[in-house]
Amino acid sequence: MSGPPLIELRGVDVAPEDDPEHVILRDVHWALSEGEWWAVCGAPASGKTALLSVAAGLSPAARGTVRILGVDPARAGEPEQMALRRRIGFVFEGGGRLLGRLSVAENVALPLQYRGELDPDEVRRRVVELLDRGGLGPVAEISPGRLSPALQQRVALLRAVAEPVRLLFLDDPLRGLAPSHVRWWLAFLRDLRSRGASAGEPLTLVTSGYEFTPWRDDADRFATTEDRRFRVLSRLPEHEPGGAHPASAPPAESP
Amino acid sequence: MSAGPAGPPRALARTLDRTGDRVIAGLIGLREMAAFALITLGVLVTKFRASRRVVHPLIFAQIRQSGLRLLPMMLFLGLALGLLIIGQTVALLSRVGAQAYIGTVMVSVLVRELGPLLTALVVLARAGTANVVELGTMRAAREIGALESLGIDPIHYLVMPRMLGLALSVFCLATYLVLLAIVSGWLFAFVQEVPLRPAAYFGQIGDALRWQDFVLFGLKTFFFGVVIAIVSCHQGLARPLRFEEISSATERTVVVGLVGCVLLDVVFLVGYVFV
Repeated sequence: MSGPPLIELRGVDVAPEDDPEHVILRDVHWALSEGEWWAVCGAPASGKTALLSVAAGLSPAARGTVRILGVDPARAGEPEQMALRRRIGFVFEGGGRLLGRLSVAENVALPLQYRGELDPDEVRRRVVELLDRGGLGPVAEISPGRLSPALQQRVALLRAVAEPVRLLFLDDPLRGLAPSHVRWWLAFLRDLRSRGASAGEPLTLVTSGYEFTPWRDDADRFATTEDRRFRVLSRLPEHEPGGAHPASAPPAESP
Repeated sequence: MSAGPAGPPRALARTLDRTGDRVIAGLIGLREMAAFALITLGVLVTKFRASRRVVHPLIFAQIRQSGLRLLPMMLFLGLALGLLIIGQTVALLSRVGAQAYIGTVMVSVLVRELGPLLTALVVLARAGTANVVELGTMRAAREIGALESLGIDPIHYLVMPRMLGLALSVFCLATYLVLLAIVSGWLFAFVQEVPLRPAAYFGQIGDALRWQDFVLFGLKTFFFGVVIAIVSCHQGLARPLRFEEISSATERTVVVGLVGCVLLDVVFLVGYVFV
């Protein structure tokens, strides 16, 4: 992939949002270009979530320079921040942090409604289409709290891509998923990527996880977070980070 | 045991230290809340018309939750208040032949003080606590971060509708309470066979009311609602919160909200003196 990086981290120290004094990744240098699919893997608590949060501009870096789509988020005013947010989707780990008071459909519709650029009928049409793609049409009107974590995560994905985005961050989306769910996720992401490419707006994906195995066939760039270091890999390692092996993955839940 | 004479001064120093720490923490909290209020005001001014289809229905939802649902409670309180005030004052005023001042008493006690303050306390207890639990739960579940990641300003989406909804609710509920108490006061006087014709009673109230009463009543009730909203939203949203901290945040909301409303009431009392 070529062209100027969409996101560039130079000499960045990363700390968790709720403990900014505790640096968990030091001196991160990372450049993400248009259309790339990154898989960032590492042991639990190795700093993946905090790194993705900094790279997406959701948390400040403890040190160093971050540029996202040409903007330094630390110095950006509110309009620039909002413009950035519209072009970056983020799916949080562990259920996706859906709004418990809204229904599944309302969660997906929220970003579209908040922008106020589409009429209500168009919003409804898009939400129905998205929910159908996610196989969530029958549960559109129920509270997300009544869904399994796997389906909540799926709703969070649909909410993140309700508007077309240039960058999509997915924090450990496959953790604990049954194989059928994993297949759905990979197929959805492939489809999303091919739609972006055919529309002339290549989508850049950043996925994280415990191991590379699920991303092996789709991701084209790989990196690890180990020993407080972020390392971009020139080729896939034979062993998973932290000594993990596919067989040691968390038990799959039933679909 | 060598504590001896050094004991009491050390204990005094520790007490002073603790008191000083609490005072400083209180002042810092006050400053944070003032900053939160100013940010909310800024958002209100700059974004009131933004995302109308999403945010304006939330204002009505807040009015429904903190206003309409409290109407039965206000009906009860209004009837009781009129009965209590007239019950206590009629006998006293009749004894000194000052029945002509019943209206003045109703205006001074009910319209200027008790009506707005009692309404504010009821709304604080019912809607303010509900607010802090709801927002605190969202904060603890990290839903606020999710809103920010979607480019949704939490102050605009969560705080502004609550502030406007609560301000309008307190104003409307206080008006309802005062009207009910005035009517129930006359009914009680009628039942007690006090020689007070309706025209005379309502005439006395009308004569006692000044234009300033309407202005200050409106302002006072509106700002009581603002205080309740700012305190409850600040306690629920402004700091990182864990689920187990929500109950203490709710307690703080009641205490700070109560003190805030009473202090605001004092400010308006001074206003009555000078206007």
